Amino acid sequence: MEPMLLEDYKYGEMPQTVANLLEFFQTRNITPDRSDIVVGFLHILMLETGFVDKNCTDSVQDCDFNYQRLLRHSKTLPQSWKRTSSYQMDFILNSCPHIACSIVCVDVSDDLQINCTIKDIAWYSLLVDPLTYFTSSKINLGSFGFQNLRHLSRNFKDSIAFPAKTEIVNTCKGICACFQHLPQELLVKIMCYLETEDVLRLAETCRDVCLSAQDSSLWVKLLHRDSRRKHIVKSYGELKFLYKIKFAPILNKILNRQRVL
Amino acid sequence: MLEDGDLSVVSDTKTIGLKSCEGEIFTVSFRVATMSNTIKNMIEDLNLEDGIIEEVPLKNISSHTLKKIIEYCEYHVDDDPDDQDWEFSTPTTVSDWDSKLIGTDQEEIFALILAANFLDIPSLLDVGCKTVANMIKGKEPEEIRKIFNIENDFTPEEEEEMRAEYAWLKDD
Repeated sequence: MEPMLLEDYKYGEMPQTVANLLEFFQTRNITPDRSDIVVGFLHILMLETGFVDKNCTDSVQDCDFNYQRLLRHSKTLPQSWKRTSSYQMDFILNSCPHIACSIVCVDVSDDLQINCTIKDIAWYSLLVDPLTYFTSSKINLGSFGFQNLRHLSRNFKDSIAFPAKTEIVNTCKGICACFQHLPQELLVKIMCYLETEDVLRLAETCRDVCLSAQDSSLWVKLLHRDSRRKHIVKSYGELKFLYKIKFAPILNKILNRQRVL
Repeated sequence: MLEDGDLSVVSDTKTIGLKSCEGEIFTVSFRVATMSNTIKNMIEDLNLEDGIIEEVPLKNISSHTLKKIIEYCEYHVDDDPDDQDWEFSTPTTVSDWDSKLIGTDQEEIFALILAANFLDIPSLLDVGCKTVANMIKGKEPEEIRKIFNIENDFTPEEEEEMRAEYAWLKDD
């Protein structure tokens, strides 16, 4: 069987992803050093884990292993992957696109320091010695021989790729620091501080927010607040809109009580 | 089980370490830390009031956010909780000191709101929500989308319907 994963690499039997990487260097006229190649391997390992480049638009929305996607994405390294004295690649999981995971590598004498940061959530690091993954000390693109890639793969996936993925997936289920992804109860809490007109305009922005704006406890609170200030709903139009978004029974109850009083 | 009074006796001398997601540990007094109902309940439930609490891991909270929260709690630690009406006060006023602490960076504001929610610090959560509410007030849907980078996922028909609804509302 042809090797699929980086860890399946055996001399002479190269997974297509590694061939893609070497071709990438060749077509861009890059003469890679060992660190360049190891960083390229890390890119492959991240793809194998289910990550994609942050700026790519890929129609596959899941974050599992997907061989076709792996082949597509292993053809190029992300733009500006190599800086003057460091490497940086930003990844995301397509199922949680708002959380980026940055891999930054720095040469530290003979070793390569790999840092992985998920902003505000987690931080991982790993030190590898690129030399151990090459069969020869010579660097010549035509005759690259690699070894111990299973070790690199295990090491990197165990200490960085999988923990990062787990962390992002877990965080995604819970929280994310942007407006649209606030938990519903917090959106509702914010709406409690708005004027009725503002809530209606906010509800028009997108489906999720519109759904949160239909929380009946919100309208009970808003009406309670506004009725103390003697103007409940300013126009029939507003009332109609409220009806439309399903608070009719509650509204009716409160309005009727007001009228009786 | 601790009475509130008991806690305040030990709370000035005892300290507690709060560990951010980056692993940085911030040491604060019990009195400041128990502004968070989550931490207060934890101390009471686990009967830790005379033990040493070296670190409470807060995996969802970054050092940057945690620093702000601690600054907030230290500043407001002597506030009388009964003095404030956290229920809806409009106009939504946020004190100068609070709004300076909260800042204007959206990501930071939302991170602070989420952390305040998790730690259950009602006054800070209110300040955060009011700040966001003030950003929304008086704005058109399109402006709000731009501010918060919200993707419009309504179909053109639905949007037209809503716009018609809203235009009619304005004429009234």
